This record gives sequence, structure tokens and C-alpha cells, in this order.
Amino acid sequence: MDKKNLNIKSARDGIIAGHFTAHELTTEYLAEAEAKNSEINAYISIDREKALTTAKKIDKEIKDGGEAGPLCGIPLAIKDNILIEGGICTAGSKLLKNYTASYDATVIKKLKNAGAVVMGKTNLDEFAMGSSNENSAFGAVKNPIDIERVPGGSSGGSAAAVAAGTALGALGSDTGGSIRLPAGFCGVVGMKPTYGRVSRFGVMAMASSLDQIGPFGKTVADAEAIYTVIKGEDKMDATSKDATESQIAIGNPGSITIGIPKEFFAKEGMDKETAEAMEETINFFRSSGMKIKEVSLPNSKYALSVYYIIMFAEVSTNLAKFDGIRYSRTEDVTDSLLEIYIKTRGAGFGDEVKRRVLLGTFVLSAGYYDAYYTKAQKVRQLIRNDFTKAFAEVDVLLSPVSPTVPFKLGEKTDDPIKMYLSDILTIPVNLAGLPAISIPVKGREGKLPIGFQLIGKRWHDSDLFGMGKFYESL
Amino acid sequence: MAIAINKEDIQRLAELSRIDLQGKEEKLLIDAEKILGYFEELTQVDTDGISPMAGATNMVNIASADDVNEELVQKGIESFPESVKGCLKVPGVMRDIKQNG
Repeated sequence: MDKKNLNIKSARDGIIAGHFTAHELTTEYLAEAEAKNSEINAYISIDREKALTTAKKIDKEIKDGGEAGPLCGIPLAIKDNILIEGGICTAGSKLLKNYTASYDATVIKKLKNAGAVVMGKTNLDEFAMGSSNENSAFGAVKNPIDIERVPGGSSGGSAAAVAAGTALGALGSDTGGSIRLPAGFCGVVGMKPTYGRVSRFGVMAMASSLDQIGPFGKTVADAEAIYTVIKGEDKMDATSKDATESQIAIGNPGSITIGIPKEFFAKEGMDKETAEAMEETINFFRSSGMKIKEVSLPNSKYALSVYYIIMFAEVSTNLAKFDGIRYSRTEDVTDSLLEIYIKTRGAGFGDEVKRRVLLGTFVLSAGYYDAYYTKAQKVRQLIRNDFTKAFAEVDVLLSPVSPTVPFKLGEKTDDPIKMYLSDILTIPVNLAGLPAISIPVKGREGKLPIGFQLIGKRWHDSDLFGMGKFYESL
Repeated sequence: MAIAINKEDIQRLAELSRIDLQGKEEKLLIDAEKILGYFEELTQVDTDGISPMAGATNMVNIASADDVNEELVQKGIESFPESVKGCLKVPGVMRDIKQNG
């Protein structure tokens, strides 16, 4: 089996045709994952036994003439803030290092039904809070393309696992760019679905009005194959919804207009390489016959402030449940209940988590609530209105995923604002609840990866896959 | 929203958030000042007549039936750090007044 050139479709076809078994495929990927993990640190845990048992079961089902699922035998890596029944789920936090999940997240149930083989749980910034994957209690993840650089965060482990060839696909979660930024930095495809397209039941909530689970793949088609399995309404998540997905006419490029949000191409802060790569990408689409139109999202310049206020507020609320009584008891404190809370959270949470919980408590406190939280919610509305206006004129929007190429480990860890600015181009999408995909710019072999982002109209997730496959095919 | 946050505020927020800052108050204060200072830019935005956007969808709240999933209840109990005969065991909240004087 030529593992390097395998994709989800060819791997599935290979298993069904009997060229190799799911067990053989899983064995290969496990060996690769185990060999590379000491260097890349993409996985917090690898479950060899369970993966091989699942693979064997799938082989037997196929041999017995059973129906092959859409992901049958495909080795996938799962971000460690998504619950798998009976497995440890740490969220990258010391506080949950011994927490065992009681049930499968809806996305996991769906992956299992589709025949996927779960390789293990991937590393992340603690509770998905970070842009570089340096905030994990289990150590930083290294970028497989250049191990002196960060893989991006917070789903850095999932992106690195796919980029390093240790899984054929992965799941991540995206609150402000946590799928798209690492995909861009590691040179793989990552997609954040429309808010509500994928059930959040069983993902540890960070900021509930922004979180969305999404796929990573080597190609757009691979990401789409995973997305197709995990999407859909779920009665366990009241914000999930089925929706008709329109498809723009990819076969008729002249009918498609791509919007270029000028604010996303600000000269300051963007490196030359990224600017050039974007120009090439825009020219590619233009020469295919698509129309290019500059649009303006004037309020997006406030997105960082709006996002951080709202996210801090939701984080402080969502993380209140980690109190040392439920989920885990890590500290041996018996004096008083209050002391258990304070010591468990003090010892269990890392610095970034503490910073966010504290500031969330601040923006929600009496006297500051309206000035910060309500104000941010209002500007959020303005940001969404800008997108609505732009989408009246164009079909999709195109921008860089990040203003810069992947930065070095340790480069931004001392300056939270500098770190937060890494997400400046991905955040507005979450605030508006839109779908977006990060696709590697072609022809960058031997260079640091650069990703471009396509943003779609709400519920038009499939437009992004259509556009992405079109880009990859030429 | 002029920000004036001091060491006492940080201490108070830590109490409210039930977090032991383990001596990192100083660094947190510096970061908080920077971050809250950055948020000042929102004062420039005219939001008169704009309604706050609380979620990413425009969906209307619905109530679902309160079905008890016994299996999940059981699993929840099993995964809880301590339990006794199907009841969750937690540290005491009340104290004997006499004992504490």
C-alpha cells in the first residue's frame, strides 16, 4: 500500500476491493503515529488495542458481505475535547487528566456507525484556548513541516496528526479559528461548518455561541467525506439544525463571484509571502473565469475585541463546572468545600485558562456588564450585518487564514495580545456563525505552508467544498 | 468604559472565580490592563438602536420533554469520583455549629 498517496476514498476502495485490510491499514498508521509522537506530540493518547479491535471488526463485516460504511476502516484522530465513551478525555488540562467520558459525543457515534477507526486523542491548547498549541498541560505540539514552529491552535494536534501522515483525517473544534489556523499552518485542509450544522453534544464547551466541530483532511474531498458523516440535526443539541445546502454552479465559473474583503488584506501585519500567495490564488480563480469583486466589512476591525469579550464571558460560565467535585478530584483537600474549589482550580488550570476565566468574570460583573458584554454583543450584530450585505453581492469570500506564516515556538507566549492577533482573520466568521474552509495554497512544497480561507453564506457549506475541489483539481 | 483595574480587583475576581492564583497576581494584572485597554476601541462604535446578538443562529427557544435516560444516569454515577449506593458522594457543605464553636 502506498500510504503517502492514500486518501479517504482510495483507502476505502482499497479495503473493499481487498487490496489491503482495515487491520493492515490501521497497523501502518499506528506504527507511524507511535514513531513520530515523541517528536511531534500530536497525540495525548493512542489507543492501539481499541483501534485494532475496531479494524478487525470492520474487516469481518466486509468479509461477511455487510455494507461498507462511508468511512469504513479509515484511521481518524480526535481532538481530546470530544468525548468517547470509556476513554480518558483531558481537554489538554491537568484538571481532567483522569476524567473518563461516560458517553460518545454525537459526532463520535456517527463516525463509529460510518466504520471509522479511532486512532487516539489529539493534543490541544487547554480547553481549546490558544492559537499555537503551546498551552497544553501535555506539552506543546510541533509543526511537522518545521518542528521549530508552532502548528497553530487550538486543534494543533489534529492538524499535525494529518500533516505528519499519522491519520487519514481528524476532528477538531473551532471557536475563533481553532480548525482553520492549524490547518493553514500545517498545510492540510480544515473546515468550520455553519454554526448549528454539526451537533456539539459531547464536545467540552468553551464558548457555546461560537464553538463548532469540524473535519481535517489531506484534501478537500477528504474533509468533505468526514463532514458529510458528522453533520445533521441532533435532538441532544438544541442549536443543531438540518438545512438544505445549495450548491453554486461550479461547472459554470462565469456565474460565480468571489468577494475580496479589503479589511482582511491590510498591509500592516501581513507578511510579503502571504500577500503574494493570496495574489496568486485570486489570479487562479480569476483566470478560471470567476468574477472577483472587492467588498468591505468595515466592522470586522472590531472583531478581536468583540470575540474576546464574548468568549471570555462564555468561558467563565462554562468552566464553572470544573470544581473538583464533579469530573475529577485532583487535590487532596478536605478542609472545606470552598477550599476544594479554589485549590483544585488553582492547581488544575493553566495560566491562559485562569486569565480568561478571570476576565470573563470581570466583563460579566455588575457595573461592567453593559459596557463590555452588551456592547460586544451589539457590535457582533454589526459584524454579522456587514457579512449579510457583502453576500448580497458575492457568492463566497476569500482571504488569508493568517496574516503570517507559522511562527516559532515561544515567539508569542509572553504577549497575550500578540497571540490573540493570530486569529484576526478567522474570528469574524465565528461571530457571524458562517462556514469557512482553510485550504493550502498550491505549489509550496519545501516552503512553509500558507492557507487561504473561503467563507460561505450560512448553510452553504457545500459551496466551500465545491470551490475547494475545483481549486485542487486544476 | 475607562478601565481602572488594580490588584484588589484581581484578588476579588479570583475569589469570585474560585481560583487560587498561586502568586501570579502581578502578571495577571499587567495582562488584564493590556487586554482591557485593547477593548477600549469599542467605545468608538455607534451601536444606538442595535440589538445585542446573543447567539449565532436566529432560532427560537423550544422546550423538549424531560426524558430521563436511566442508562446515562447510571453512567454518570459510575464516572463520578465517589458514590455510595447509587448516590453521589460529595464533601459536606454544612457544619456542626457546636463543633466549630
